[in-house]
Amino acid sequence: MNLFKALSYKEWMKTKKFILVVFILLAAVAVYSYIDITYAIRIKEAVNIWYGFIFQGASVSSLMMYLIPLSGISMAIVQFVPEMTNKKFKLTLHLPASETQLMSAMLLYGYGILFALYLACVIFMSVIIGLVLPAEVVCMMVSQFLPWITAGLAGYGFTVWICVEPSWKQRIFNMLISVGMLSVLFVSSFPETYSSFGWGMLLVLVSSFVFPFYSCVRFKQGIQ
Amino acid sequence: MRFKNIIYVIILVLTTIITLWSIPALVKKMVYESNGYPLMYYSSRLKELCIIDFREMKDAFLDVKGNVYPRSQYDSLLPLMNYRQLAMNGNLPDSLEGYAMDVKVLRSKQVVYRFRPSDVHSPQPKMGVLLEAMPKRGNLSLPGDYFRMDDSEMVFVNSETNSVNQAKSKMFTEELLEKGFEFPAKAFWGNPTVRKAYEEGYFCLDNKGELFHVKMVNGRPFVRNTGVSKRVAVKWFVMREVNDKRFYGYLFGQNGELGIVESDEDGGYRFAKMDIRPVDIAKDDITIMGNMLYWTVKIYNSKAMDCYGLKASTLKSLSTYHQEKEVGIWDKVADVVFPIILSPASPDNGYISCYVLHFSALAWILSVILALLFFVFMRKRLALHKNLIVSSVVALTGITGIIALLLLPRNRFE
Repeated sequence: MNLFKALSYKEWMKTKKFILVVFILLAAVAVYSYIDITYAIRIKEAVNIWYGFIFQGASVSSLMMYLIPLSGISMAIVQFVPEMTNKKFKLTLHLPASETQLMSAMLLYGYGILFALYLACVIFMSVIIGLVLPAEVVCMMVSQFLPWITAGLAGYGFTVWICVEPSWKQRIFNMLISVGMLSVLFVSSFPETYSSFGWGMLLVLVSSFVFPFYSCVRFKQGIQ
Repeated sequence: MRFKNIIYVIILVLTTIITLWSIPALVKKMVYESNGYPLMYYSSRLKELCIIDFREMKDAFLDVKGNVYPRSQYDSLLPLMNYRQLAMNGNLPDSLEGYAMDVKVLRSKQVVYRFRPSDVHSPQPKMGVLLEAMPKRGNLSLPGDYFRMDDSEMVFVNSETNSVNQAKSKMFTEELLEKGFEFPAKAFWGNPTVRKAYEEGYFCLDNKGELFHVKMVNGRPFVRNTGVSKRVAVKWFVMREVNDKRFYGYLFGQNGELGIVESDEDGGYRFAKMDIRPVDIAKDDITIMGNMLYWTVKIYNSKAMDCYGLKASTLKSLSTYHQEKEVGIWDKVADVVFPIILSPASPDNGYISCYVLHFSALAWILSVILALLFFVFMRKRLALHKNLIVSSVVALTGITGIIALLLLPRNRFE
């Protein structure tokens, strides 16, 4: 079996239960949001509910603001904390490939899984919400989710950076920097306020992919 | 790893960007004290603009010529502002400048409006709602559908069924086209609330830059070209159904004009420009406080305030006043400590981006000195070219750069 296929299989074995849990949670929150909106429409009339979405920036699913970033952070913990206990990660780094390739493969596995989950969630929600609300509100919902999804993916990368970091003191500093980077994505939760900040979200995302390599080198050097 | 040093520099730069936002924000929270502009009002008694700042002067206020008046005369010298208090105390004068002082009339003539640059530079509603302008039961109510302006038609979507109301869409689109409206619409502005005295619908800017008035009367479209674009190139409009029905709303022109769109004697529309300096809607906040005789218009930004006392009927200027922004403790601290302050949010813009909120040459000079000291201190600990990179970050960003460096691993550039 190809090394990277085997590596992905190892990651899958570690995370498959967690992925199932996140999948169920995302689906549950998506379905709950739909039920909540249809309930509100029955009780308060569609015209008033639409008013809240169109003019007052009401959120289709404010629970997603917590669930998406937390799922990214948890994914990194589930994937990398077992590697760090008893420094098992050293064995992985001794596989016959460069540390850059190994680290990239592990990170891309996590990003890939999370991205697929979030994408499926957004498509599913767009379809079910589109049944009761106009396309404009669905667009507002997607644009509101974008910074949260970026926070989920970047939260994953930054948590890997913190987990792989060998020194506890530096881990705390990494946490501070990560919180700072992620908080840029939560300055406003009003839909469409991030519409001209695509480059900034991409910068946070790319940096979350790049930062863990620095911790990886420090880990390999045996810094305590 | 080959790219280790490059990754370190990336982490350093991004951490510095975060500290350039978070450290000044934290310091501002600790030292900022309100240093806003005073309340201004044109006194109908003194025939002059008054400066009211009871934070600065507890028992007195001034007019712009510097005359001081005791606080006990606050109500009587500003009767059109404090008419409720005067009426409550039984001191409301019978008439002023030949006009009877009736509380109901005074209330209906009162104008209060606040404009912020972020009203324009923030996400705007993608749909609108046309209320029935002549409701059978008196109260305004939501009609059950919302409209969007497509490339070639006005589309009404029924909220109950989430489907297009074809008949209504066709009726309104045909009326718009018949009155000369050219799709696609550039913008549409309304005041979508049922908490107002009456409904005037929307003002829509068509593809040619003409401003149209669109409303629904007895379920049918009412569309008219206001013709105001012959006088002013429309940039922004704010719909305000005022109590006395004198005007429709405030219009901002492409060249900084600000005025109102009012109905003329023939039932048409007229742009009445205010006699004030040009307004920059990206930077200037505006407050308008008007009464039946005079309007007080205050235009202010982070640098200075310009205030105008206008005659309500003609909007011609009677008095003006200019005041520079006072330098507060925070401004002094920022000028010395932070050469540059970044933020993802701006007070003048609702969109998230990377804003440079502050730049100080003095703090930058101090940062260069700090960087030189840092360079000398680190010359034996770091290789020359590495020391140069780190010192230049400190030179550019000052103390925030040092904090970013402290957050990163000590054993840099092994």
